[in-house]
Amino acid sequence: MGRYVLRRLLLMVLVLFGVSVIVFFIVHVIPADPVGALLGGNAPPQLVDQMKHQLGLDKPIWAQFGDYMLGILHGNLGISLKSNRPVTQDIAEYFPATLELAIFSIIISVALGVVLGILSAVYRNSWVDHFSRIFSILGVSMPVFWTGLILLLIFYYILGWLPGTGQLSLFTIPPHRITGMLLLDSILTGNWEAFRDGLAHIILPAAVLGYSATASIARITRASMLDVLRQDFIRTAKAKGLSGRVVIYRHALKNALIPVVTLIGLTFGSLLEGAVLTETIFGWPGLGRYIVNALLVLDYPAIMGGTLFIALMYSLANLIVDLTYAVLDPRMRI
Amino acid sequence: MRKSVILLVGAMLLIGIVGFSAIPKNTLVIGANTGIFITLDPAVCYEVLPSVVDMNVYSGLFKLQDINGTIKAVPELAKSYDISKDGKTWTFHLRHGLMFSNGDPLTADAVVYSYKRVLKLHKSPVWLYESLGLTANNMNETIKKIDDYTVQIVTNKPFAPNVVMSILAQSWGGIVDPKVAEAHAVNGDMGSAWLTDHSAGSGPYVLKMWKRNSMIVLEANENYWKGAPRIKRVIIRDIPESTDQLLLLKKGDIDVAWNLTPDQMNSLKGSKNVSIVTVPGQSDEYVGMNAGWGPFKNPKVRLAVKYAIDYKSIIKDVVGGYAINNQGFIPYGYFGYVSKTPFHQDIEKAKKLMEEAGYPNGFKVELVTNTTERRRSEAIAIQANLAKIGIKAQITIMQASQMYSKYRQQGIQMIVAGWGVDFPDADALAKPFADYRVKQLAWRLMWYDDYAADLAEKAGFEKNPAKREQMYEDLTNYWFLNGPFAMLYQPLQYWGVRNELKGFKEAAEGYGLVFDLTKVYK
Amino acid sequence: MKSITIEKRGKLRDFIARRKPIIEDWKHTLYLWKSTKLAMIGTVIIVIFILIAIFAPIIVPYDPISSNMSARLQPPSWDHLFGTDQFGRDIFSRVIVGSRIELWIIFLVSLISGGLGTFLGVVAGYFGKFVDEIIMRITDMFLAFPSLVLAMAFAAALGPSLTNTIIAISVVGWTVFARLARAEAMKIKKQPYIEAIRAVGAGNSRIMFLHVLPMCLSPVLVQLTLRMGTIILTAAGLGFLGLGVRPPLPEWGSMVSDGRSYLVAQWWISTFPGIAIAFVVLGFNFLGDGIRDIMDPRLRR
Repeated sequence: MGRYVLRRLLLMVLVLFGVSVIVFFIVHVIPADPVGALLGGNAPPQLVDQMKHQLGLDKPIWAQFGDYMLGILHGNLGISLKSNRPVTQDIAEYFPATLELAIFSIIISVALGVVLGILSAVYRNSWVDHFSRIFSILGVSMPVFWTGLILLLIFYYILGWLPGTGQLSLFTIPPHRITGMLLLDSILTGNWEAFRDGLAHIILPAAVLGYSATASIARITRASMLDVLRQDFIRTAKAKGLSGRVVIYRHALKNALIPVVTLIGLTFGSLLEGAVLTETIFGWPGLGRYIVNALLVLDYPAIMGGTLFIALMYSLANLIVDLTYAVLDPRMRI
Repeated sequence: MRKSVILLVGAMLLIGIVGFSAIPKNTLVIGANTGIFITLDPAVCYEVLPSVVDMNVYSGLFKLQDINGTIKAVPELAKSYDISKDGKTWTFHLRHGLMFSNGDPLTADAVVYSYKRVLKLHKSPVWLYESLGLTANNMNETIKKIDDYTVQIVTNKPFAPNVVMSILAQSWGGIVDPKVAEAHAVNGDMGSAWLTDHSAGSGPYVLKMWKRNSMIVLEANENYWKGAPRIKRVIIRDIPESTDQLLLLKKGDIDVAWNLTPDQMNSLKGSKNVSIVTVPGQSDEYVGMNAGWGPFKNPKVRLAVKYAIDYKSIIKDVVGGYAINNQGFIPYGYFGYVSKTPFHQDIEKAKKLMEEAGYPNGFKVELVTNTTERRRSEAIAIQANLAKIGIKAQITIMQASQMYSKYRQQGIQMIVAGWGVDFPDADALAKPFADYRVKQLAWRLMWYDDYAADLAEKAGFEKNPAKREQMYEDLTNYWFLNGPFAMLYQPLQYWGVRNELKGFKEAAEGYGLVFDLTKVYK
Repeated sequence: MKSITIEKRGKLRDFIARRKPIIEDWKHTLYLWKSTKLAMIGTVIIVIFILIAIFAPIIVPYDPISSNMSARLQPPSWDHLFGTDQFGRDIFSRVIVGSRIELWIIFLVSLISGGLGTFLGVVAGYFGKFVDEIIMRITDMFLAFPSLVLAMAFAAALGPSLTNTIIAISVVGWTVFARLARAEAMKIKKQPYIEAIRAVGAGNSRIMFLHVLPMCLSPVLVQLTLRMGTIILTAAGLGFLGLGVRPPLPEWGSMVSDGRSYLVAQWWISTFPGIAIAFVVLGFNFLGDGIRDIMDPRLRR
């Protein structure tokens, strides 16, 4: 087990190194002028050149690459051209909001996916099955920014059930920042007003994001449920005279959910992706918007740092999932 | 199953209790896309919307004000000023008893410190100071404290008084408290990192908080020398999507929507709770043709393009009527404004010009613009117009960073873009649009026309108003026929504003250069 | 000459004889497909989509490109089934013509990313060892990348246009196929018949491309079907960020995103292309889902 973990960690480092090399060269290949964009369209060329010199952007690309890699080794992702702060500091500010959104989305997609999957399996080939499958597949079939706007229109504007954009209502006093995750901080500080308000705000974006990841979870649940329901021990349980419901919830479900665990890692990755669009629609101050804003002005360090960080999170999530799986299923250990 | 239903209902009730509280009377909530906010340090800040914040947080020696449609610099912290006979030495006399929001006294030292700070930090606004001849190298001689209430600056040329005052009147002329700035200085940055999201000024408001991509909160400065403003708290909520802004405005969750589209504005007409506020914008929207590229080398082709564009339809349909049909480069309300509009769509004439120029079958051209919805729409409309005279325009949408890079290398064939006024004087427009030597727009479009450049330069120094006016008129007429620009319109700035809010139009008059939050009340 | 033809004919007969079990299998699959409702519905949707794309020029009532400012923002009516947009263009016509663009994007992206992925996967799986190690680590790198960010960076680097959108999406999408093809190739290369072919003296590349590669195709094809929906959505996402195709091309994703500021007052502008996207993506997902049901022996029955 220890060697397996070590090997995986080494590979992860290698992958992250590769990611940083790729992203460095992609952003530097773009024929653009971030400094010129930041200074505005009116600035004369001399000023643009001076700024470039100040920021070291007039050095040859290899020298810049060397600086960048050296920085990463020291845990330094550089200074964002736009915010003028260390990229690590920016990430620390924005990531918790994204993480919170992703966690809620995972909860929603797993809950929804498992429920739909079970319904599909138990009422296989009936209209319940068809409905729940169509419903879950519909989630991956619509552009998230469009679903987001429409849900906002319905639940906020027309029905008035849920608040509009942002993380909190304007006049709710935010909790003291501890982890940066608003809901968690509200609980830690006992700020229930902020907790309720934050919960009301996170529902729509998390639902939009989670819904888009529901289909694959519903699918896996359905398949493995069907698989488990045919196994001998279920027949035994039924033969013992246990009711259908007890069999499904007590016996079948527990065994059927193991494959779902593996899917969470991949889902996490796709949620981080979806966050890029969802956060813009819902005015969510997260890492996705940070990266989009960085891309719009080509803030090199911010793009590179943000991407590298997301790659790191993705790799970590998958590592954790694989390890969990290895613990659950000893055959995986090599 | 039953348990989960109860849980669900419970959760919904819990959330349902959250009231959607109305905005208090002493608070103003603005919905805007703050994605472009870089910093609120007045020596660095340059974008239009962020400088609205700075204009209300920092005061300068002068202040821009819209007086009957003309924007003028008027004394603010300075009570009076003298100009030497040669027109180069300025002496400013400060008001007595001024203080910063934290109670520190505001004296000549602070003024000298703040001006030198802009030069030393050397960020976006510095070129405006340098255009007056003030640089980091000569600042100890050119910017001097005479006594606690007197400051002297020396420019390198005898500029028109309005030019000097207008430059000092903007956000980058804001006076920073040296004590506070130096207390937060890191590695000799004169507090720039800290001032990114804090304030140390003497304006009507204090920057209380900037939570990035979320909100900016301003609070009334109770020490403001003209008396604390009526609105005690201003919140700028970051709402990137215009549709969201519209929804929140209609619901009353924001008082002002800053970034609506023209069609969204028009959908508000007839609304009971929301009014539309418009003021002439301090910018120009234009189509640029690279005079050094292929067919555009021929002035007749450029003229043909000017006759091919359907200005009326662009103003009416693409920008929903939120524009002034101004075809010269000097904006409406400015000294030197030319009200003549010689161009309208005339396909026959345009075709004839194309034939005379030797392009009866037209040609292909790449039309570049950036990703904003307005520009995309304009590009599509122009593409359709040009098709009528055989010019096949291929639209390339670029992010601003790419577009400006290419533009600054003179590498764009045709562009749809805008130009914001840097200071309210005809000179701030004549130079970029007609004088290639300043290396701005005319240069980027390779229009190396010495007649126009000389005229623009001379008009900048002309002291006799009648003569100066005539020079701008001559320049504009020459520019109409020969220039590489087809001026689409001068935008009207517009906002959706809740009816509870009063005084917004007065506050917004001159927007782009001026925005005075103290005039707003509920 | 003649002998070659006869030899070929013989080969053909041989071929059919050898493939008989496979053909039988296909028949069985066809039967399963008919009994899988989702796959049926999916196929019908996709066939409609393809037919519309083919006959688009005949169907469209209006010019989808040129603007007509006097007819802008009209709600759906019998003249304009889906209404008109901010340039007075008929949205119905744009959606219909847009199907061709979507089809083209799907086709090219599938070809490039499927081809590239399969090629690299087969090479990795066939050679194993350090070749495998290198290729799979590269795959991991691209997999760990947030793909929309990668596509955005690529689209920004290359400039927004149809071709570049296709390239950007392809660069992002090939990893899944590489993994699948590799796993398949590793299985196949251990089969005795591969050993036999090698004994006869066939070279590596011959074995790889003529014998291993064809056997890897079916899982790749299934995965491709499932991915086709994602392709449209990624294109739409790029459009949302202003990095989609060049205007005025009626690509559905950019139509939805360009029309989104009209959602409140003129809902039809972004809703109809949105429905078109959902419809087609749904079709591909149904088909892919159904095929997986068919391929998964546990679910047959």
